[in-house]
Amino acid sequence: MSTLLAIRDLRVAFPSAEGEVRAVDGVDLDVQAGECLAVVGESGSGKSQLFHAVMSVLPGNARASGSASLAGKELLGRSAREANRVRGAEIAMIFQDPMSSLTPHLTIGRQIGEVLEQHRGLGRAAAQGRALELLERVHIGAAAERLRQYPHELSGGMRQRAMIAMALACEPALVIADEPTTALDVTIQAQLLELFRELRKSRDRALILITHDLGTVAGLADRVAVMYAGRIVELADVESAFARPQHPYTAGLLQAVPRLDAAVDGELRGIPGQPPLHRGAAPGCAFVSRCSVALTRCATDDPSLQQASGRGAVACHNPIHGDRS
Amino acid sequence: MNRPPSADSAGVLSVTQLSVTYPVRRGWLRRPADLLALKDVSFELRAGETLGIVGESGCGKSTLARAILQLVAPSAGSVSWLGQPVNPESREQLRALRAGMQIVFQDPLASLDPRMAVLDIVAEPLREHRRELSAEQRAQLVAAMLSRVGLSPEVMRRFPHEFSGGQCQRIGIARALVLEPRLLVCDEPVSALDVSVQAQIVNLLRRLQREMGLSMLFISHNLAVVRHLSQRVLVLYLGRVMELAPRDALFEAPRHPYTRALLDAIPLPDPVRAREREVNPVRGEVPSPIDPPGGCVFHTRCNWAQARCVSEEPLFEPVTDAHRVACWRWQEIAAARAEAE
Repeated sequence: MSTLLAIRDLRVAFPSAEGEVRAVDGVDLDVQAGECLAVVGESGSGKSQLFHAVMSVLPGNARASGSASLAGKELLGRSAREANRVRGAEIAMIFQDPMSSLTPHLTIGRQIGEVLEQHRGLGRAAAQGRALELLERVHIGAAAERLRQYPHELSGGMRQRAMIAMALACEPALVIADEPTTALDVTIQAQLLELFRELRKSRDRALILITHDLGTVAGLADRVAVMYAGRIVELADVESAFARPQHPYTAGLLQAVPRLDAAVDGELRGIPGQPPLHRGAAPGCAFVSRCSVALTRCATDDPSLQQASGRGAVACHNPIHGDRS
Repeated sequence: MNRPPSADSAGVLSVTQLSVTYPVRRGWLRRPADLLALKDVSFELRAGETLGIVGESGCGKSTLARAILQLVAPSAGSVSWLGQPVNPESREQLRALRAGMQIVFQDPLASLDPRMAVLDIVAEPLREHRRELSAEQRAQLVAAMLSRVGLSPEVMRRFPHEFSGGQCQRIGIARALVLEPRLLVCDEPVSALDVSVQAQIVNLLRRLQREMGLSMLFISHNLAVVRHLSQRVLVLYLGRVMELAPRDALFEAPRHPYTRALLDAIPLPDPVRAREREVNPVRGEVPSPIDPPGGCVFHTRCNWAQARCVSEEPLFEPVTDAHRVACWRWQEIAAARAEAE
């Protein structure tokens, strides 16, 4: 496999009254062509900001530094016009709320058509023909009719399908989906998860799935990156991450999820404390105050992401070894 | 039809054939329509019991909570509280009712007044319902309740924006429990929280329920959370009860195709099994409640539907004494499943 997206020392900071807030605090990450990488974390982990930086869609007051290169082409620090050329054509993004990313006063057909006209130079008729094919590919029924409808006339599930069709319009090498099913009902989530799995079968593009839902990760991802307080704390293939988590935070997250196949009478094992809103100025590991296996050095000495046994990596002075029972 | 179960004297709350309609305007030229948000819902809630209420958006679960709390007027049916039918005209009875049943909302921050200190937020029900208390007595009760929900009494002088989502939800729970109600209605109380914090709140609710002998209505779309908290579960779809069953029966042998679909829709947090599992999600989406399908409201999405399901509304039939299902074909489906396994 070849590296499609290479992220190096990526940082995102926001000014605030109490000083600079480090939302993303030095992330290195390689995404391979064709793979599905899940980026998991709770609120404040920086998982969305990291990829908003890659897509150049950060709010105006954010400062991004470091590097993110797609097939050798640097994405950070481009002009708005250059960024626009890459977005949609080479990388596409799917957001949690399709209503806020679709244009309310344009029909679905116009919106998908515009992407094709702008990036692929298709004529209007050809673009509409292609848009129809795309809607059929994401299993939108009565596709010809849907092309003429406005976003508000579609249900939440249909809008998200239309968003996926638009993301696929230019056959980008990388699709980034930010909580694509979170806002939907459970049966619709299951339908969309099935659609993603079907679209993944050809493995002709990479998918980055940003989510807090470990169930979605298990069914879709090849690899998992776990983020906490702006950093990657564990990176592993999906089987290892679930069966043998090495970071105490990963293990804690897995235990906190209520499962249909678990004993029901015991308590759920949550993680004490709250996820930090952002990385503080304190030295040491950001997870130390919530960690049950913290060592003395964890409070003073910040662990970096190190290659661990197998192909994974973990940022922890006292990682968990062996199988989780 | 959903027939009322026989009256139970130990019941804290009894809901009988409850229906709620909302008028809906569909453009200025068309006649206003009635949206039947809830139709013929009946159940009993016993002292110390948790009833989980599950369903997707538009299923009527929040309307049900509001109708029980008398925040919306039912169009038909009745609610009994501690054996007495609730008369919505009686202000005195409503006051007693509202002191005895309290609600915890989904969005912890939005449900707390940002201009009020924690002390005032949690003391508000005391000021309304226990006017005999002095300010000092109120503060004592608030401090005791805060430590019960895992917060230090020192937070009393602080304001909601200084707290995380999980802490705000603890404040909301303290406010709901400060009057020591009999019934706590939880409307998606953990849906907005991070997973690591969600577990803390679920455990807290379980502990408080045991300690205080609370009855609970736990409304959620998350079946795994409902399973952790409930003794019985009510499944709603488009305002109708599809199934009512003890927890283990519902999760191990669901009888309604919709319940089965909800269970199948939950992704397994296990990559090996998730890959092996054959996924066949239920098709289509929830139809508009303004124009619901005739017969069984689920027939448009059901793989088992036949002519009768389209024309006739199913009876709410007993599977066992405690388990009821509204499906014409539940016996055939159960037999087919038994054979397949």
